[in-house]
Amino acid sequence: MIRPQEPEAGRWGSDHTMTVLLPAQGDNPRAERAMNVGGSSKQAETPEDLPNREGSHGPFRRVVRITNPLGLHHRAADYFSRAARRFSCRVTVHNGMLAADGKNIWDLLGLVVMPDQEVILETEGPDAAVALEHLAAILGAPNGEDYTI
Amino acid sequence: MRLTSFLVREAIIPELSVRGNGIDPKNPQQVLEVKTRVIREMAQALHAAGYFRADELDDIVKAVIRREQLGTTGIGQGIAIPHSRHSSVHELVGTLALAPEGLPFDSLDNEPVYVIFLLVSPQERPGDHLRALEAIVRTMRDADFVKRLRACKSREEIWNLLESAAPGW
Repeated sequence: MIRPQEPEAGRWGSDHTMTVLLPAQGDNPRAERAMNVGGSSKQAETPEDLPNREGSHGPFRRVVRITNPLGLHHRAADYFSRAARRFSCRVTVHNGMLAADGKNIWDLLGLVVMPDQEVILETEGPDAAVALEHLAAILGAPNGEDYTI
Repeated sequence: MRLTSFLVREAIIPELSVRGNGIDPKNPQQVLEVKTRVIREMAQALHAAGYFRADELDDIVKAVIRREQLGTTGIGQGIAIPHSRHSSVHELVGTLALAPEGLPFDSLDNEPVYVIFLLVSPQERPGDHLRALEAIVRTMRDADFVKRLRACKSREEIWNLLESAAPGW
């Protein structure tokens, strides 16, 4: 279900990065790190091949620029939602004040994400860290044919 | 965007002539044949309403089928949105067809489709296409609206119902 939602943690920097709150790092329960804007273009492995990163939880967030020249169109949303459903964590895509369940193509199409627009990808759950990497790569891919799953 | 801003009233089909009788929904070739006949009937309706030349029809049907072969546009809950970009149009156009008995469409939920939207977009206007998709999914999420839509028997009934849908983006 799409609902108006303000991302709770994270702020923009002047260098086009977004600072996000990550889970416990040693003694610091809410350590901050700067993460680069945009999804990775590396070829991702299948989720089954990827480590669970110690039962990560999150929420983890990343800003992803949509480089697909057609925006987050039907086929791209279909690829993304199918990939997201392979993870057990919650997957949310924020576009401004709107938030969509990343596992639901109906929700994703309702976001109307244009080419070159930035969205916030958020994952939370036991495999959230791995899901963030994997799904950011898909969301930031330049076109549908580049997707690996 | 409203549904009535891109759907062509004269091209709406209250009851497709295509039937799914005897079609095995698990047979990809048979399902593709059904899709092709549906898309051709809908594209023909747009042509009859003055939107494509006759010599462009085959190419448009092929383009929509090519897109369909990359992944089904049957998004579940009885709805399908076959679509393609094509140089024959300078603005987004679409039509809607009802299949009262349901048709196999390789949908995400493996259920038949009853409401089909065909969209043909210009090559370089992704925004309009995305807003049209949003208008469709937003309106079709309303189960009561879909129920009333499927009960419509005429083009006028369908159009009047579509006009009552709330505008979106």
